[in-house]
Amino acid sequence: MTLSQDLLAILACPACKGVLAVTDDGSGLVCEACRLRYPVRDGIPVMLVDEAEKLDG
Amino acid sequence: MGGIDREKVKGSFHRQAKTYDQYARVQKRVVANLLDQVRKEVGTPGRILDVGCGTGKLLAELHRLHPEAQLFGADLALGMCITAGAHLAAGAFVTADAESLPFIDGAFNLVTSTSTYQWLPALDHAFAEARRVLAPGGIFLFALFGERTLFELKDAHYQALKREGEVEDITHRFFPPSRVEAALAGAGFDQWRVESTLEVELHADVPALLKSLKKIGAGNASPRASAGLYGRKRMLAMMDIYQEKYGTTDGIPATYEVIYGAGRCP
Repeated sequence: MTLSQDLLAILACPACKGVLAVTDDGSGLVCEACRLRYPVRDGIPVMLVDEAEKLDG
Repeated sequence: MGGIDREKVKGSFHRQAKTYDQYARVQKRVVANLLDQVRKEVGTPGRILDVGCGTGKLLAELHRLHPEAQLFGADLALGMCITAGAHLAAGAFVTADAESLPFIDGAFNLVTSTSTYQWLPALDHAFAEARRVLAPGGIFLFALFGERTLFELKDAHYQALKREGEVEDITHRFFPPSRVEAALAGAGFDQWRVESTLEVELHADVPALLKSLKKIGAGNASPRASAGLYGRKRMLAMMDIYQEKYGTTDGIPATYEVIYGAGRCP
C-alpha cells in the first residue's frame, strides 16, 4: 500500500517537527535530523519516537 | 495524579479494536454532540485531524458533513488505525501520540478529539500540539471524560478500602473542568469555552457494568488499580456497597461526566 500524497504533504517528525523522507521501498519514513526511521505497518505510519529505529552515524 | 501505563492503554485498546463499536454507547452520544458543534461553528474546513480517532466513527460523520475536506486520523493504537483505514477509504491514518503530533505547523483547519484526552497525565502538551497544527483561524473542538466519571464506582471502591483500614485512593483520576479550561487558556487560543455535562447509564448490576467497561478496553488502564481493585474479597465488598448505596429497581447507575471544550486560533 502506498502512502497518500495528501498525508506526506503534512507529515512531520513527531520529535523535531522536521521533514521526512520516504525510504525507497516505502517501508519507512526517515528523519535525517533526529537519525530516526519510523516504520510503516499495514500501510499505517507508526509515528512514535519509542518505536522508531535509530540510524547509525 | 497517578501515572497511566501508556503501554497498557495502547495494548488494551489494540486488542479491543474490533469489538469496540458495539459497546461504547456514551462515546456515541459524545460524537453526536460534537458533530452538532461542528455544524454550528465550522465553515468549510480544508483539512481535518481527529486525535484519538479510534475506529474512525467521528471522521466518517465528518466526511458526510464535509465530503470535500481531507480527513486525517491519529491514534496511539495501531489496531484502531488499521480498522479505521479499512472502514473509511477517504481518510489517512497514523499511529501517533496526542502529546507529540507528527504534523507540520498550521496543517489543519479543524482539530477534533473525543474520549481521548482523559488518559493523558496532563493536558498542556496535548492542547499546545493541537494549537500548533492548526492554521490561523482554525478551530479545536473536543470532548473528554471528567473527574466525576464513574464516581459511584470510585466511591464504592473507596468505601471497600476503608473497611480494610486502607485509605489510599488508587484509581486513575480524570481532570476537573477547571483544569481543562486552564490548559486551553495556556495553549494560546484566542477564544475558548468549556462546558461540563453528566450522562447516566443504567446497568443490570455491578458485574454488568464492570463487564461493559472491560469490553470497551477501559477496564484496567490504571496498573495499581488492577492489583488492588480486583482482589476478590475487596471486589465483593465494593459490589455490595455500590448496589446498596446507588442501586434502584431499574438497575445500577453509572455516571459519566463529559467535558466539552472549544478553542479558536487567532
